[in-house]
Amino acid sequence: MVNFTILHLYPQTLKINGEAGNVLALKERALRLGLEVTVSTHELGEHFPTSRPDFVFIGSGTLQATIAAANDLATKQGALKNLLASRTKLLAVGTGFDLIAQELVLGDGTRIQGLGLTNTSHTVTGNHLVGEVLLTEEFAGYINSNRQIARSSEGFELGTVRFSDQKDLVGYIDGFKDGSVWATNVQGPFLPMNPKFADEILKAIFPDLVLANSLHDLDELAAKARKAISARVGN
Amino acid sequence: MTPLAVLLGKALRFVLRLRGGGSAVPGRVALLVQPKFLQKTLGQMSKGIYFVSGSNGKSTTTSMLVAILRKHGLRVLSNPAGANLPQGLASALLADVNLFGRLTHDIAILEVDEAYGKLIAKKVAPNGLLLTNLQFDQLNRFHSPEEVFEYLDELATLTKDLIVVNGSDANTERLASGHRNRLSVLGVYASNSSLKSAAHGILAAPNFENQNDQLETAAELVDVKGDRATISLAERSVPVRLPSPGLHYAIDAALAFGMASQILEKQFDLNLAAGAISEMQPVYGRGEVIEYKGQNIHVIMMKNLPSLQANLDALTERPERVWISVDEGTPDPSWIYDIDLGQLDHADVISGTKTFQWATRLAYENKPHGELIEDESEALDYFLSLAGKNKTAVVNYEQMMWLRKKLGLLDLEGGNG
Repeated sequence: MVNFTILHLYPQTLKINGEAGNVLALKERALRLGLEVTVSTHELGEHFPTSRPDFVFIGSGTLQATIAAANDLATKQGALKNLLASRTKLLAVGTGFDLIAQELVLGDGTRIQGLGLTNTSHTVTGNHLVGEVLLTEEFAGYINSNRQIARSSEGFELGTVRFSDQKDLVGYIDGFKDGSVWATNVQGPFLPMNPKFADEILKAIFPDLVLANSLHDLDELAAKARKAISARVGN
Repeated sequence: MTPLAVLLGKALRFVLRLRGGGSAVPGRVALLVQPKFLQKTLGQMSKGIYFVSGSNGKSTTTSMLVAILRKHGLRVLSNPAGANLPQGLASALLADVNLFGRLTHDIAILEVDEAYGKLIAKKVAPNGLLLTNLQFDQLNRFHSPEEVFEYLDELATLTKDLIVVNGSDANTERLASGHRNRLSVLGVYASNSSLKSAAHGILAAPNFENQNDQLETAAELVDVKGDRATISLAERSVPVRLPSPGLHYAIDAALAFGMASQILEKQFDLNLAAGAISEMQPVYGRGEVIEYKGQNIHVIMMKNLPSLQANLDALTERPERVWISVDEGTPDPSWIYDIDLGQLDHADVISGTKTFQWATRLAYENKPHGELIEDESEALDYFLSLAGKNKTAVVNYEQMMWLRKKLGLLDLEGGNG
């Protein structure tokens, strides 16, 4: 049986709003599709694992937690970049997106270098955008972010907010994806709520994987959850 | 000016209550007529004014502290949980003041919101501040516990004499430590064994600024099992029966002991305090069991991740009949994916606007759900029709308020009863 290996970076440090749901979603879907699944974790100060995982997940945390993770990650960025060069896929959510960007600029002007995996540079602002969102391609969730995101090139965005209960969020361009890396500010359980991205990641890792009816109940419930959000934000 | 403010405020309050419910309007009018209404009323307290704040446990800890002080013979003024803005507090005070703004109380124990507390403190600086914890809460409003730390720190800066905090929470301990030079600063600590009594501990927000912040101990939670706790103070310990089981309620009780002992000083009697807590009923929806037509409905609150996890950790057996209901009072329930649902093996019915978000969560854990009924009234009818006497309702704060009213409990939260 094929083993699907997941490395969850900083699960205790970067854990603020249900991000672990993304690992749960991939794990459960993979199990239902007949794969074996192994989840390992890596915390601050630990030795970076030597074996290559199929997938790396980075969640979201408070600003202090994100800075702590950035300091730790700075010593491991070579190893992580090597993984990605060796076909490992990665999803970063919330402030995890900051960590894989070109840089994160703090409110006092301090610049924290990111892993440089995206075409984005992030700046902490005093303006928090908070609300339920429905984005292009009908993916949905909740954004709670005070980051201004500048893009060095066009393309690679995950989606654009079409509807929201927070009018300033309408038109917000979210995330990044290039086939190896996915990133979003749609927080918390991005994949359980939007399983098409979970399947996109699984298919990128296992191109021959056949999606099956065993996922139907999960997808139907998530679709109804998104539909409820869609109705609330006025679509 | 005060008699006019009181007269207008009381008249408005009377009229508005005839129309049903409370309102901040009478307080707003009283403050317009007499801008120093809060200073003139609360300023009369011979034993001072004390604030209780923090992410969770404010209502329970406030009720416990009030109960202990009343047991010692003090006349205690307290506020309904919602009356935490100056105008709301002024409205609540209008119920108790006479025409000249006189109160008959010795001391005010006020539950204050983490962010709004400073608005009241700027009008009437508290003598003492009791901080329960700093946890993940209302991220849609506060964005991060780090912002809440700043709010609470500002509240501490406005405090005149004393801070007592949950010392087992590294953030509140660190916050208090920062005020050592100006104030009396004490911590209430839970023993290692009591911390281990709950599967997920005290569920504090992370603290990345490690310092040696150990405070002088005001009280210690020695151990807790179910609704029985042992609290020690000045090397004497006493058994306490808690109003609801769980480490979180035991820490609330120890915090109330710690602050009461500072307020009462030599008059503090450990056994009287234990008696006061042991006589308490569950605090308004917090672990409350509502009896309704021969059924016992155990209310489990899910205000936020720590509150739900603490309440699930306190369960001694898996609930047989489970109803989950969450509405827009919880704008973003994403955190349910961080909850260890080990104590829940199914839901019989899920309702509220977040029905399908909860159902998706359970499905990913392979935990079966029964009916999905978005309308809460229909869901409640169905839940009550299910066989069984002992049932469990997992509800957010707004659904708890709605449920209590629906089941005939019409009392308002808080007050000076």
